[in-house]
Amino acid sequence: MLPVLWLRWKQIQGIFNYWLRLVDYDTKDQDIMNRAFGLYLVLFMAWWTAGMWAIAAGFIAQIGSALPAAAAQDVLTVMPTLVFVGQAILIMLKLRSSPYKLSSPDIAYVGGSPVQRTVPVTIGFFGDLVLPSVLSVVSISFVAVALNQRLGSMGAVMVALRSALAVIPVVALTWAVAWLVGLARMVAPGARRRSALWLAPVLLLPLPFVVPGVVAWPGNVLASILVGESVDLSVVTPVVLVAVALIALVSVMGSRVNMIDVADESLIYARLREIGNLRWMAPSVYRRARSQFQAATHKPVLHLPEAEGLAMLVARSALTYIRNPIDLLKLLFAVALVQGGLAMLAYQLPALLIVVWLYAVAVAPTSSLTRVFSADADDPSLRQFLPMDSLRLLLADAALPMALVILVSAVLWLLQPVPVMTALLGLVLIGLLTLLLVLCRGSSLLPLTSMRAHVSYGVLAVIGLGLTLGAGLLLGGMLAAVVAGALVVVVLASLVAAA
Amino acid sequence: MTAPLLRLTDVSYTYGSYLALNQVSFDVEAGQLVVLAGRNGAGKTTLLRCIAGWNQVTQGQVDLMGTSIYQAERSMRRNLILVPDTPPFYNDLTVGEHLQFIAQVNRLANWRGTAQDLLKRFGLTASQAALPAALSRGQRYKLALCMALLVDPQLLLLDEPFGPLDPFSAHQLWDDLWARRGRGKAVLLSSHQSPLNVRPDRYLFMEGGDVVADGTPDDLMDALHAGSNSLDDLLRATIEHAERQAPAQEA
Repeated sequence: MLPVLWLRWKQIQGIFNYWLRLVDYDTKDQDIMNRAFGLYLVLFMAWWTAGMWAIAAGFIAQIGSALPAAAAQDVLTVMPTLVFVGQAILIMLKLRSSPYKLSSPDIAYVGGSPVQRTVPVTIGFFGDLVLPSVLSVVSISFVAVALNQRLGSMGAVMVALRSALAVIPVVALTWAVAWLVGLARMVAPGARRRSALWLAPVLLLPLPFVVPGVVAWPGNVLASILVGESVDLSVVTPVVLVAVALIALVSVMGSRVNMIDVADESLIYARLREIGNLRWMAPSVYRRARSQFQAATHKPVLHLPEAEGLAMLVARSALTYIRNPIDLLKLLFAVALVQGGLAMLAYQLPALLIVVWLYAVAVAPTSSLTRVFSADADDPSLRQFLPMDSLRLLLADAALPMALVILVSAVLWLLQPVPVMTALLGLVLIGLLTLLLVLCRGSSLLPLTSMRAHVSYGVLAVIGLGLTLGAGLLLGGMLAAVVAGALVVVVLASLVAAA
Repeated sequence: MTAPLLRLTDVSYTYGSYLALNQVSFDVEAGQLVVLAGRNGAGKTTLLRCIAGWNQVTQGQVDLMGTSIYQAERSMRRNLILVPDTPPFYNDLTVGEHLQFIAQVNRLANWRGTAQDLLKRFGLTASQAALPAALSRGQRYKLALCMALLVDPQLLLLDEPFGPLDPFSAHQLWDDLWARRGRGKAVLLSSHQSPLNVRPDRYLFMEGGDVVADGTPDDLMDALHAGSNSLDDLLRATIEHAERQAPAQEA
């Protein structure tokens, strides 16, 4: 066990050293000035983290004060279902390929060694748990602060702390269940050959209606602490005990895993790990490599239909999405963003929420809207075969995802009880917001200025969509948003056409 | 007097402060097969990318059929295609679908027969239903060649085409390029190597971002006192000649 732990420790050290070297700190340099610089970095990071947390908490508190009193009750209702759906999705992901993955050196030196399989699998499980735990702790703390403003700032912070502690066993339990199911697939004879097995968790989705007490239990516990209903952390104890028992089972199941199977299912992961920190430095290169590696394992379904000119581009786009159904699912992020923007305008929600919405617009994975255009525009080698300007190419490539987002958003919108005029303006805005998302994504892939420089999607989206929604919120009407949105569309479209 | 198919006038290109191309000028006429040769880092790939409009030249002008490619960037696309040394592909389209897509998006007439013929000649018929990710490096290059040859541009630019190909396929490609030349189409390719016993119409030798020698194989053999008119001997003679000239120029 110790050599594997030592190996993982050295790998973590290597990652830290890389980022420290980027800020000019050398961990091997014993010089007093270098050490003093290290101390300065630690103090600066602590100050920066505390400062950023205080600013974010203050901002979240302002949003929390503007939330209606029923918000906490809504969270109590929705949270258990959200946690359960999250668990089902995670199980699907862990069923697609081995939950325990090996990097290229691991395949050679860990998988190829006679070490007890329990050891690397258990260490791998905890490694996989770190990032989701940290993200969950941070996000749940902010939600707790927002929901508990009625308790005063100190009361809200105490609930945030309790929620942060309670979310860790819930995340551990969720990950342990997913890993157990994933490892069971690796161990059960013949299960790996069933390629559609990963869809099985869909069958679990009706369970909250059949046995709500059982499946919603972890979510209920978390929700009760999050809204300040439970002040005693002892309600989490059963979750902790079950999580520990499940982690022990992960270790036991890990001892039965065949490393040849794990290595076989780790090939894409291993090749992506070789890209290393380029993942953060050049995400587009990383994404391209990932889609290439993933495509290598796919068997193409259907055939390219017969069509000519722009119609061929639409046909190719349809085939690409059919062959990558996950990208179709990701379009739901765009639907959620459009719905969020519309709700803010239609119900005149607090103007401060625009910051949260714009942040979501900037970080949400909506790149699947321009998945096909990205392949066309990324490299001049393929672009040279396409004899049309960039705007027509973008619109043809993104026609299908845009139509789907508009259709789903329109259906959801028309289900809302709003006046006819609002409903009509909403439909126009759905089209505009979707088109803006596509144009911002598309523009970010092209050299726009005379310097042939790229402008990032985040900047374009915050400016373009911020102007549209801001006009609607500040001028108090959806019509203003429509006019502003149309102007932004014209500007972005002319930039893309000229690129 | 008609303009040459391709004319470069004092083309320079810099990467930051590094001068990759230094006032390069030459013409390529229709029906010529020209080989661009030189050591690693001589500027061959940069030159091809500038001609194709993938890199914007820092100075000078590139004209295709008498028109600057920067003024008529889109209209000249059908007349000019560059196949890079590591061509990218659409991850989700098969080999056959790549050719169908390129042909139909460009509204090419009677493309099916030509596509099948190209696939057969480059040994890709059996891989028609495969995704590019499943192909070897050589096969990927052949697919890129098939795509370019299917569109059949006036000027075909190839970057290191013979490197990834086996000797049989390299000869096959040379025969195809020679046939194109016979139909009045031009080819400009960069290479360190060429199939045995073949001679292009012209060699352009580059060194340090400059074209240091330009001529037919026989003319260059005489001018450089090379052992033969093969690419290897001419390249060696060019480099020795350039190295002899450099100290003299510095002095």
